[in-house]
Amino acid sequence: MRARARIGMETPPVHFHIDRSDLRRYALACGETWPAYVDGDEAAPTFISALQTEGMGAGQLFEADLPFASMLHSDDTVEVYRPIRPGDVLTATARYCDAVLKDSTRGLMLFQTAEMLLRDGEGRAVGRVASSLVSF
Amino acid sequence: MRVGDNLPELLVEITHRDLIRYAGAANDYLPQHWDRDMMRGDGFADVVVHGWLGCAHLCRAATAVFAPDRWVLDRYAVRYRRPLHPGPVVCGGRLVACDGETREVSGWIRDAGGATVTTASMWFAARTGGC
Repeated sequence: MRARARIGMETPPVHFHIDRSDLRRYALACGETWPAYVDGDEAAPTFISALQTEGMGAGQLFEADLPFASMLHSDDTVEVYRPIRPGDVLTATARYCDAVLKDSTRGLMLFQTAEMLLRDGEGRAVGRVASSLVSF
Repeated sequence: MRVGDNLPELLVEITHRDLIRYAGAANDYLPQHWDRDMMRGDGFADVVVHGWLGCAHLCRAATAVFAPDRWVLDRYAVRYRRPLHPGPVVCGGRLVACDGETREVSGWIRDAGGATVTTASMWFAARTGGC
């Protein structure tokens, strides 16, 4: 399976300068009403997702050229080591973790998993997210 | 709140406009979330809601009880079991464990037809200590 050849593949580090307006815009798009989130003092709980597209290689990490009609998001696992705040300078590194074929009532399904680690300017871990996509 | 107690349910009407807004805020422009013709061609009834947006609403249902000034959601695991299309959804859950300064919530999202489309385990840690 070609996707398994990606296991261990890493994408180059990506740097993010976290701006209060990024945090505000994200919180409002999620319907948040908690003042610290809406004011951008602290990131809403799922904000790490907003860094995934760039932080995980702008779509290059997952295998997309597959003999399946559809691809959807199947799982996320997140660890937040400390809240993301405005002024943070974060570095994302990402790695392709796994590709597994499973039989299901819908036929054969391929699950791909990759993870992204965020570190701050001092190299301390800020958060980690592992996401899986299912193709069927 | 005691172990076994349910969260107050959060009813959300997720619109196509919400998906566009979320796509911009989250930098997630995958066509599954905006290209209705493509999705219908693939056999879906409509575009699908960003999994993360559903997750964010589920977090809101939980933080209505575990207020962010006292609790931080420091770990969660979400499974998107079925495609969720725009429309009304209900987010809910139950406190399943209380261990020192950690609370574990089992959450769910149900679509307009009552199907459970998303499930999650969420762990909250006390910011300042105490139950």
